[in-house]
Amino acid sequence: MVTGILTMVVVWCLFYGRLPAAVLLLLGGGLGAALSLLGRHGSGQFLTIDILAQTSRLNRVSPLLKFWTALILMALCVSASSSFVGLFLTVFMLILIVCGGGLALHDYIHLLALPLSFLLLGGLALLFEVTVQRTGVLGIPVFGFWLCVSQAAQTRAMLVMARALGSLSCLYMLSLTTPMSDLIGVLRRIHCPELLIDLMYLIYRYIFILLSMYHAMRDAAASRLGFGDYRTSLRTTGNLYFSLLFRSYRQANRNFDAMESRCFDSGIRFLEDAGKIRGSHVLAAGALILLTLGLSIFFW
Amino acid sequence: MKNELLRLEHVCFRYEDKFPALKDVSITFQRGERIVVLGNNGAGKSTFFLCCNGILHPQSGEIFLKGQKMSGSKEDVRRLRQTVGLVFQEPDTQIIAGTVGSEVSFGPMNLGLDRQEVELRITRSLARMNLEGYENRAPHYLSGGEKKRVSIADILAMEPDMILLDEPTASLDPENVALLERTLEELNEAGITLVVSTHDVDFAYGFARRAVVLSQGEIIQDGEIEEVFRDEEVLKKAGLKKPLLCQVAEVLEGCVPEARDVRRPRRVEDFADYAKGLLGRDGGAKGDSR
Repeated sequence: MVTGILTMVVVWCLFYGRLPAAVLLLLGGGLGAALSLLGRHGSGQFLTIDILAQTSRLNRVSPLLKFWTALILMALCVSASSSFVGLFLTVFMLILIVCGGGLALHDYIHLLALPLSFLLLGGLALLFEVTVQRTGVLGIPVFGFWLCVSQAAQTRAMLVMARALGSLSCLYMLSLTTPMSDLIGVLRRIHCPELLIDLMYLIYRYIFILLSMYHAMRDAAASRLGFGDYRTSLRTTGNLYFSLLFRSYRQANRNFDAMESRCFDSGIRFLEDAGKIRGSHVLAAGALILLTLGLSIFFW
Repeated sequence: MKNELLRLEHVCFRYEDKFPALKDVSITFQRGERIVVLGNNGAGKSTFFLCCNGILHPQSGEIFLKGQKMSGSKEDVRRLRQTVGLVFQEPDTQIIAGTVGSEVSFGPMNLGLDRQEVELRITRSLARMNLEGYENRAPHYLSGGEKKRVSIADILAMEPDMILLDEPTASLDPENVALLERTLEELNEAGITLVVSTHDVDFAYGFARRAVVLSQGEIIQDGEIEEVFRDEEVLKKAGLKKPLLCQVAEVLEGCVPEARDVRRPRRVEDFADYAKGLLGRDGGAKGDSR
């Protein structure tokens, strides 16, 4: 909802004086309404991204290919001097993730809404200047000063936001279709330090162990009215975190025993199923990169 | 002895500033046996398993693998852990990878096998545990029963001669317990020695031939499971209940004296024959008197 209203305001300011008022109203209102209606909250769970990545239809595409494609597209998007490239990538990734990956549209928009609201706030800051006299295409008087939007600021804000949105979409393409373990596998293949990789595997696994421990303990505390009023909540939360720390130490010891019992000596090694790089996927990725490159040269 | 797989001699283990967890434990496991380890909480079952697997090093006593004394050298420990696999009670203790496939690969990779062999072992052990098609699933979204099967597949992939299972039936629903029983049966038929610790005496009675009873870190009974469950004194000391079939057989033996000569059934499937035999004989006796 907040993102919807923000979108409306930002779109209004961006195109004010460039489009007729009726079209502007329709565009701003339409985008804002679409965002707030479609982005209605699905599950809103903390681990949504992980689950979505596990179930995406694109998760068998080679993670290495996705990684490099996303990286190159992001570089192109950020270096482009026209906002069309960013907008093109945003729309393309939306279609790819929703139609290709099988993600529900409202889930995608919901996920997009949070970074989008930061982006739009940043956009507002870029659009407005504080001046003594009214200048530019749009002016709002505030306590004897003017908040003005100039055409140059409009162009600049548009470009920055399009770049950010485009890169964000590329990152989402990677993170919403690639399970974490595949991503860590990619990092290993591009020769990240072993220690970091091992830590990443363990941390990823531990998020789930600790989270389920925490949930169980929190529910047990709640069932004994541990969150009755503010004071008890504070005390309960403190105790909870303390025992979580204690239990995680014990759990770590046991996990280490279990790793040792499977002949672990140094360095975590798994057989990584890298996901075969398929010719058609490479061609598609290549075509997309060329198209983006073409667009950024054409609209230089 | 030729078929001896693992032998513990006078093994003692004590955790820091605690009463001894294992006191002078001596036991021999033969190839192909199926054994249950019984005993109440804190009797030392888990410690016993951790010692057999070489995770805990006993303060005194010796461990022999296939007749060879284990010196505690890196080489020996490795051989012990490969030959004697340990399935932990909580699958979450064991599972560390982000997908089932890489999880199962952890053991074989640590053994330093080549890629092809590791792949083969993953496929084979997943198939054995009915987990085909789970390679790319994330373990944290599996059910409890599935996680248990993954944790057994983990160990199977290392192709041990003997598997220790620490309370595998705890926190499984009846359907999964039945599935586990069938799986263990198959593994044993494939020649793997199984040692299972459990509180589920009914499961133990059907599954094992030999029972070992631990109490306060000592082996207080080791023998054929039927004999163990006749030993009232041991049962009382270890806080064990008799299996339901055992109790029923006792009641029947009380009513039908001839039943004492018949072998007690250890599974519900065998009970039908047992009861028919007894009642038939009983009916026959009545017919004679008429």
